[in-house]
Amino acid sequence: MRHAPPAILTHNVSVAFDGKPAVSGISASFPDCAINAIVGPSGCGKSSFLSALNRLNESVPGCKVDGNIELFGAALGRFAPNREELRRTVAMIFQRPVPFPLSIRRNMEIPITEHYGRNRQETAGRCEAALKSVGLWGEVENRLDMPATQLSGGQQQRLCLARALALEPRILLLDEPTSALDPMAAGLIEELLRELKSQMSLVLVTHNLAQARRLADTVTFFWMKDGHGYVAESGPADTLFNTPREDVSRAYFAGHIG
Amino acid sequence: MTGVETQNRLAALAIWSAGLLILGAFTLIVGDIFWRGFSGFELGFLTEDPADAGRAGGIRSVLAATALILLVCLAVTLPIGLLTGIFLADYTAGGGRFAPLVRRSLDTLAGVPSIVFGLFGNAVFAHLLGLRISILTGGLTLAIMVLPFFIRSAEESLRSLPVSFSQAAEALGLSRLTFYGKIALPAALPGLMAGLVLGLGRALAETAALIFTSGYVTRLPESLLDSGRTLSIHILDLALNVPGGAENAYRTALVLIVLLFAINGALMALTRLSPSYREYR
Ligand SMILES: Nc1ncnc2c1ncn2[C@@H]1O[C@H](COP(=O)(O)OP(=O)(O)O)[C@@H](O)[C@H]1O
Ligand SMILES: [Mg+2]
Repeated sequence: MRHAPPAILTHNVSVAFDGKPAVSGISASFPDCAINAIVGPSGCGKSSFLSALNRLNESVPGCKVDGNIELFGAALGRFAPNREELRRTVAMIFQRPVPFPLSIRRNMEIPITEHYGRNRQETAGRCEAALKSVGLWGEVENRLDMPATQLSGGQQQRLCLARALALEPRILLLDEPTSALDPMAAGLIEELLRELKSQMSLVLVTHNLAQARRLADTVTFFWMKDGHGYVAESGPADTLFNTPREDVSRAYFAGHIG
Repeated sequence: MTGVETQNRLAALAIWSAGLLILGAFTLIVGDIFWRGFSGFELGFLTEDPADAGRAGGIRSVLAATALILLVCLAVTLPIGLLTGIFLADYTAGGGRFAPLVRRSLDTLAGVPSIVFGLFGNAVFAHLLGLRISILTGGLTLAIMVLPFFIRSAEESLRSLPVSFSQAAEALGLSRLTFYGKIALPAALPGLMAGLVLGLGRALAETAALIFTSGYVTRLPESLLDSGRTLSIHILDLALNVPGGAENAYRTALVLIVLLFAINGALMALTRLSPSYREYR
């Protein structure tokens, strides 16, 4: 039996801003149907690397990405023929929930109609299914026309998750998705991520080590050297948490540094 | 009483007096116009054309010309203004060295006296492009005059939106057209409307730029290529050139002010209808 290619395979990826590298030489492999945690101190380029995976930083002036990225065994350009398709299949959730200042319904409908065309019934169906999948349907079913910004922080983040899931992504990038939320709301999101990993590959940037321990199947540990980030160690979560090879990983996971 | 307390009281007094002074001036001007404008005001004033150089009759043709000139001005200002505002505000558009140049030009244009726009409109639209002294020429000239203000206020209101909206839209694979059409412009609506109100106010008040471009005949315009006289020019003419025209000048001023208030109110009402406005409060 042939081994299925990983959901994400990067080779020697670097991201630079105005010629100054933020991360460099990142070679990583993230399997499908798993939660892949990226941990490390802030400023070591985790967000920059994550944004390179769906080319979100190509619109940042002065930002340049080098190296190879393969998704499900195909070069990025072949995996998704255009940027819209890439963003649909490789979704991104940010640290602060970003509901658009519109109704809950419009927040869901705008991306759905953008990608699947204007079809009332299909749109309503996708909207309902996605809201159900994040456990928000029961809470907002009767007030879909309420401004999305009136939801609580946790609800807003679940709305953003639903908005992305409605587009049926195969990879979900999450940049510290719970760090702006209270523990209860964060717990709900964590539960959702655990459910989602049966359907897609998740890449979760977090500097909450306890969260990584609870959720991660693989861990990639970023550290700083010569003013830019690099991967100090990566592998199955068990190995990194219990028997890390590198001194710096041992110190970091023991809580001595970072 | 301590020294600090005295100082605070004096400062408060100064601030209040300044505020009262402005309020007083406003009341005085508006009150004067309402008082004099209302005396002998009849509805026929709005439905009759001017007669006897404006001393008699009403302002029907003047109202029509004003409305048409404003419409021409709006039809040009809105699309060009929004597109340029987006160009200047959008970091992905990467205006590079071009954007600052555009901004500098706009700021310079904003400071040019309106009579210069009048001469320009006369030379370019009326003669070079052969549009003659007409509603069209006047509206286009006003548009060029109003655009610098509207563009900069559109840019400001778009810039005041959080960058995260744009990022989230990109992450969802939305086109820039969708982002601006469905998300950014609705969210920026209050600011855009404020810019529009200011711009239309300037346009309604304008006389110098229009005398050479849309003209001052009092006939009812039958097409955009006819010339016509706006409310402001009518007031100017009645006050300056027509002995015995003061009463109708005041009545026209009353109509002008009510029109300004009405435009203001209508645009604000429109803003309140948008969900973005409700959320931003
Ligand atoms: N838009 C940007 N422009 C310039 N430099 C940036 C930008 N975004 C990130 N950087 C730089 O890249 C480095 C890594 O940042 P980031 O990827 O946000 O790290 P992390 O997510 O691990 O905290 C930082 O030194 C930061 O200053
Ligand atoms: Mg970060």
